[in-house]
Amino acid sequence: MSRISCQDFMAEIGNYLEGDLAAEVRAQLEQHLAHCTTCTVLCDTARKTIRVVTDSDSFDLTEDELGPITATIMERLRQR
Amino acid sequence: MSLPEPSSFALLREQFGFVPRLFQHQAFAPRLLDAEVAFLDALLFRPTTLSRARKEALLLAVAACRRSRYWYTLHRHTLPLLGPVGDSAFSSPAQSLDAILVRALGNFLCTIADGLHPNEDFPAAEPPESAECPMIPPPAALPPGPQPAAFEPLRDHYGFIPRLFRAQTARPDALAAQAAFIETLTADSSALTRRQKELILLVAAARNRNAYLVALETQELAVMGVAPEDADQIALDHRAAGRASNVTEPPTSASGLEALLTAALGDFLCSLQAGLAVEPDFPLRITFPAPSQNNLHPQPPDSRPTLQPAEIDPDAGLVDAAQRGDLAAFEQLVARHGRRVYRTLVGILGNTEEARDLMQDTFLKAFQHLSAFERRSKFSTWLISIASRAGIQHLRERRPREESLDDTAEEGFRPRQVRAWTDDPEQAYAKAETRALVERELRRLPSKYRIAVMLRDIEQLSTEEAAAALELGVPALKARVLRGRLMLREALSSHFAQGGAA
Repeated sequence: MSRISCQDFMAEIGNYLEGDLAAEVRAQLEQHLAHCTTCTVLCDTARKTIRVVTDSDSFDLTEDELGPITATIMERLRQR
Repeated sequence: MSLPEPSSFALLREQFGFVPRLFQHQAFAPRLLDAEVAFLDALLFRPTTLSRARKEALLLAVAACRRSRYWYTLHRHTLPLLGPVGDSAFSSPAQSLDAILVRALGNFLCTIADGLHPNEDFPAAEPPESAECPMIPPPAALPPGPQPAAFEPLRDHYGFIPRLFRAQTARPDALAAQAAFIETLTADSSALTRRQKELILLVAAARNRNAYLVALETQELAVMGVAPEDADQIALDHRAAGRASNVTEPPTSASGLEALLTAALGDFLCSLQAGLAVEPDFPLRITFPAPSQNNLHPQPPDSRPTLQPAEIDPDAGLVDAAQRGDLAAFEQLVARHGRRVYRTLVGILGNTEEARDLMQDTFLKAFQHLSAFERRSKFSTWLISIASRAGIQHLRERRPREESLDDTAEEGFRPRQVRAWTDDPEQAYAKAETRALVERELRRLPSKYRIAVMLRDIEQLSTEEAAAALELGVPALKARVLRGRLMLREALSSHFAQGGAA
């Protein structure tokens, strides 16, 4: 398997993070990771970023906040 | 001692003035090359309703869209020598059909160039950055011609006459060319088995998100003993035949070239079917989200379709009732999806106050247009696309000088923060603090990246659903998601790096 560069790795990092790769390509990327700390850190921190965002409850509306909005919407609808 | 050159070289020389490298590279398999050139002859070289110049212009446009530097260079060179291109409108259904055939041929040729990657025949011309796929309206009903002679070999091959070919009876010459090419590819003397070729066609169909051809190939494979469930799986996981051909070695064997030509044929048939909008021959087992009518390119192997049986929408019952005027049902839909619409609007607008305001308009619009909702996607996806459109329109009206919402100004993004993070960043701060931090950094992202990340990582939509909701192609959506995630990573790094905040 020919060695790939960090640039090549970065070109595929999106698909790697999503698990969206053919087996041969993934193997090449993992071989690169085995001897490249920078790309390993990039991948690891990118994965952690995704998890932090997913678990953050960002911009969540509570029932208390949504209720009045729903009520207003329905009132406007009923008036038509 | 040199081998005699393939007979088709003479025709190529006559037509191009020389033998383009693409064809020179195939001289080792003269039977295949001759069949390919005969195909080209019927669709391009011979006089049809469109002038040669017009057809070449269409091929140039396809080459630009497919980003085929090889063909773009060649057509750029040839086109000026062919005379005036003339009017771009199509004055008859026959011309539309002709154009659709030529566009499909362009697709075919680009796939071959991708597989062989020959050097350009002239100083290379770079195709423009974002070239539009040439749009051709499907021809109004053409009077069907008499049963063409080509129907016999097609019936032999498929066991019946697929609608895709029935739709072309006004062009018996084109049908004959397709039949002859298919026959040559699948002749007894060929290197690959019939089954191998049908699998290649299935994968090509899946890459093109062409449900018609997937269904047809699944049926053909069933006759060869491949279970439909297995064909479904191959279509869904269409990397089974490997990545796009431009990362593999150019074929030097007949079997390799056959495989490439079969894949190119698949792209031809998909482009043709999409252009003619032919109805399926069999009930569809698989549909693809957001298929486009004029879908030219084979999608890159990373876009994943999903099996879509009819009743997959959990909101179907409420939507039915709401469409019949049941307001209580609609209220339940608002309650179910209010938070998601709100977050979508925050994603587009970047602030919560405007998002609250626009929420009302979004749901009112959804109610007004409920009768137009065709259930081609889930209700929630449709609702999100209404929200995103409303948000984008608001951005354009209220803040016209803000960041661009399209992809025209893409530069590379280089990650700078390369410190490792603490093992469990979610334990680094209290939950409320982490939330505030993430919200703050999300607000700072450009809108187009923020919404992409939020739909994927907060709403947890699939790539296809997110692309459909934002009315983007899957590759564009993926690029935005990646960029957004990397920018967030950059911004969050100083807070989560090992050894404490910087």
